[in-house]
Amino acid sequence: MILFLLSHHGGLPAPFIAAAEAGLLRALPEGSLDDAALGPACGLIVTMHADQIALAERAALLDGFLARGGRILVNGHLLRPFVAGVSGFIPSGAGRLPDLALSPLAPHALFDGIPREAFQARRGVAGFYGRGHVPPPAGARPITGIGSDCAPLDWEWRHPGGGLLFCHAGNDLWTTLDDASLTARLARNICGWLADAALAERAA
Amino acid sequence: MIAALHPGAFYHIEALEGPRYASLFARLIRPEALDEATLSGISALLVPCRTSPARLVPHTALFRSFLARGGTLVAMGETFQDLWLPGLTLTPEPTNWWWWLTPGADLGLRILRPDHPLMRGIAETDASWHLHGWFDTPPGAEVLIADRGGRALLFVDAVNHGAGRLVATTLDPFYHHGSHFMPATTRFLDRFLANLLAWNPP
Repeated sequence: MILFLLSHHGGLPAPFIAAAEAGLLRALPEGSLDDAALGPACGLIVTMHADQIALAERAALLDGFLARGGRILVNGHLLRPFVAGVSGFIPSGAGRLPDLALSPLAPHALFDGIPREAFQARRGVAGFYGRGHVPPPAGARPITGIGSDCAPLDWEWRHPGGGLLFCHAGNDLWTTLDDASLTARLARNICGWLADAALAERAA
Repeated sequence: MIAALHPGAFYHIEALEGPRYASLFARLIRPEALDEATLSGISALLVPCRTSPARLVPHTALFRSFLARGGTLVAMGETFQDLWLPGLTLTPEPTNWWWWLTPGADLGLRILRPDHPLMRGIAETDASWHLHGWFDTPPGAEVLIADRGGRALLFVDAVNHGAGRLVATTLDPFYHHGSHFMPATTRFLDRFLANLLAWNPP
């Protein structure tokens, strides 16, 4: 089961309704995040609206989840060290067009079947995808760079216990594309990647 | 003294704790910690944009008593005020993110009372980024900012809440300022927060 941590008003975002109806994902109000909720879960989605102060108080819970092989997708600027011990957001330059240029640095399952350039702008306007980066922990794999120095806007980090963290230092990923079919593909990719650890365990 | 609720999203952390505005707030209060004691000595309480109404509804009676005894309550946009401030009627509208791409376009926002203490130094361009909805104007309330149709985007109600003043808006500047997005929102907050402080002297 994938948990979508619900931090905003309005319920589960539309791109994840199909996964919820299929029984693959469920919304969890952020105040209900605890060991009991995480126990049967394989993956966790944290949105840009998350209460990071509350999450930082539960950092050990998230670390334990990664330590037992769970996967977490975090969106937004990490300003409290609630996962992987990282915090701090560095804006890219002055936010001018070259500062917002995205550079794919490595392939990733989240982006299978999606042209990476589709994330660059919405209706010609750059900056929706991200406007800076969160410095990653040692050993993280940069996935998408921003600005002339390709600062790691997206990175993936493997917990020593085997879990994976994908950090996207920008708006919620599923809000950054113009094309609805690509957004649907992205949501499927997110669910697939978050469920992958559970599938691998089951196959073994 | 002004206090702000602190819901803890990154844009709240950036806007409320960042050096630009942090000194304006005498106290930052977590929604779950809000009670009579945390409001002691506070003359104005600000609820920042995008605070989930689920975290505000439990405090409806407290907001009412804070207003009744003369407090100023500032309810910012995208908090769905009609859910936690009974009696308000809010009509959300789909956001047009792209209006400014048309050369010469005008969002239609108008400052109706530029002479009001809360509006000093704020130009219409400082308040124009997106529209998220409008309020039915409560009887006797003053509309400071309206949309093209004259509907309330920011009003002050000093007649329906005892000795208190309710300021409600559908504008969401904390969210954008705290996201490093939309320079107009920073210009708006620079003036609005200074005006709010002057309007609620220690």
